[in-house]
Amino acid sequence: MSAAATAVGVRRKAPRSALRRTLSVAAPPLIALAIALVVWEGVVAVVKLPVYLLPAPSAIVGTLWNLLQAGFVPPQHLGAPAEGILYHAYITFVEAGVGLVIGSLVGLALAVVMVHSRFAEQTLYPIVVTIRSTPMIAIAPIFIIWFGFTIMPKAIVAALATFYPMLVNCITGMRSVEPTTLEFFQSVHASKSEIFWKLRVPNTQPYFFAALRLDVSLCLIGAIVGELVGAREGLGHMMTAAAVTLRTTEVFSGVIVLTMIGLVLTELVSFIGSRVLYWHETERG
Amino acid sequence: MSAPATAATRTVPSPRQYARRQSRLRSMAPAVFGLVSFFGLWQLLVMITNTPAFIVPAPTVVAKRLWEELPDYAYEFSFTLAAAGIGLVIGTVVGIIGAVLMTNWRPLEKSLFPLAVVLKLVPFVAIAPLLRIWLGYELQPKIVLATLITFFPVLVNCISGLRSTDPLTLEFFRSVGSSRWEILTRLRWMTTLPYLYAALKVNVNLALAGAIVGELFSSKNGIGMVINETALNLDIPAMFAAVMFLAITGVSLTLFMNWSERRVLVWHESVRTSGGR
Repeated sequence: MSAAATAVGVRRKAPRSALRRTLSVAAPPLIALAIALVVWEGVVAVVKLPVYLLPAPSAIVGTLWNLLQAGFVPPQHLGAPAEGILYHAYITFVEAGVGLVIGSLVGLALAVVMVHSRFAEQTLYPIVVTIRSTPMIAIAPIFIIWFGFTIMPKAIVAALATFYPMLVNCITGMRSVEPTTLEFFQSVHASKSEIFWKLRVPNTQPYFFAALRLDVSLCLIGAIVGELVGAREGLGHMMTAAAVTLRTTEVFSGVIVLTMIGLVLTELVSFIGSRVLYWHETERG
Repeated sequence: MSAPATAATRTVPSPRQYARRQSRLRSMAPAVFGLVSFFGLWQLLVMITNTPAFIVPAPTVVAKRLWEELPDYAYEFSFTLAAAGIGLVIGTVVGIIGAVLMTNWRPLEKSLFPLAVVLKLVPFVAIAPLLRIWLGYELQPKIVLATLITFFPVLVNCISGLRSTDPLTLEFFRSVGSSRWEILTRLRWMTTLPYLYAALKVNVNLALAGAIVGELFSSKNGIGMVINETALNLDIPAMFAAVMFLAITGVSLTLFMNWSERRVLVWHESVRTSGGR
């Protein structure tokens, strides 16, 4: 693989040092991963571990491939073997997405209120901390009882998981405007709304994207936790059902797909952030 | 370290301390108002709409139930706390050791750090059902889950902290002939502490959540088991009481972490400029 990459690089006359640099960054983790997988495969083969206890990586990849190839198929009945993983992934994605939107909007709105009113901040802060400090998994059964096996309980748990980082980061961002810049704004008689939109909002953007980066993985965990407690579809449900019936390869497939979704979303947020924040020093440096 | 200073000031509060205590009391008032109005509103809504207790119990009902069940819940919670605590300690210690090893041996860092960043994204709660198959119904699966959840944030944050040593200070340490060990314990460790605390503060609640997830699935004991059983029996006041119990312990843990952070990081600017919250 590395030979082919080098050949392509030479033909296109890409700067060799840049290619080398990419390789030297990407190669060590890939090698480590390969070694880990080979050792895992070897141990499973030598010890003859049953596949339901700990499947070899090759078995997991095989199952994952089958589940991906099956395409977009809803399960036939409750607890049926997963035929396609894409449907479950889609369900979890929607739940997490709805939760993320709700959580971020609530976090943003609360941040704006709490920044502008010291009284609101002091009143709301203990309530917010209480909600954040309560393990969301403990609240999930309540929402299942209220809303049934719908998308709502999962979205609410995901929203609860995501609103706090957004709130805290946005408060920090709106607060941490440079005093001299603020003084300048005030010296030219900028109105409160001008100070908010032209100074505080741009200043909050890096903090916003940092929170969003964290939140995309948190909302997935929230959706999964909600599904673990009670669901008929989604990756969390698929994995629970698979574990109960000892289809361990399906559990691992679910974990891989979830991690991939999280990884792609995190990188996507980073990319969008770097585009929006081209003016900010963290992106320029 | 700061013991003599606090001992000296504790006898006679300086005017500044007195003023600070006064202002802290005054700043508590809106917080109390907020909590009281939150529960008051909840109580009022339940009473006005006549909501049955199996949908939303009134706070007074929940509080009464919690009072009755308190010894039982405290007993069950001790299992949860033990699993979360052991997992947190293992995850933190292994995370710190891993971070020190990685930052001291370049090839290890280059090969494993990118993997750790990816593994940090793995939703480990999802393997709770598997852990039951592997480790059974006792404490072990919950400890493992809490360890897995807490390990990667500690590792990644500690590496960032160990890396962020000020190069000038590092050069100074080298110029006076400090050993590697001295640089690690006297310099790098100090820059790492704020990063470690950032991870720890999140991890305390995460470890608890991890232990509860484990208990929800498979347990003879634990507050997660209580929540699961009360939910299955539709004993909603008891379930709310358990959640309220967790809320109180969770807030206590958060407050304790904030307090200990202020104690440990007295010298750090994030604490010095925060005005004491």
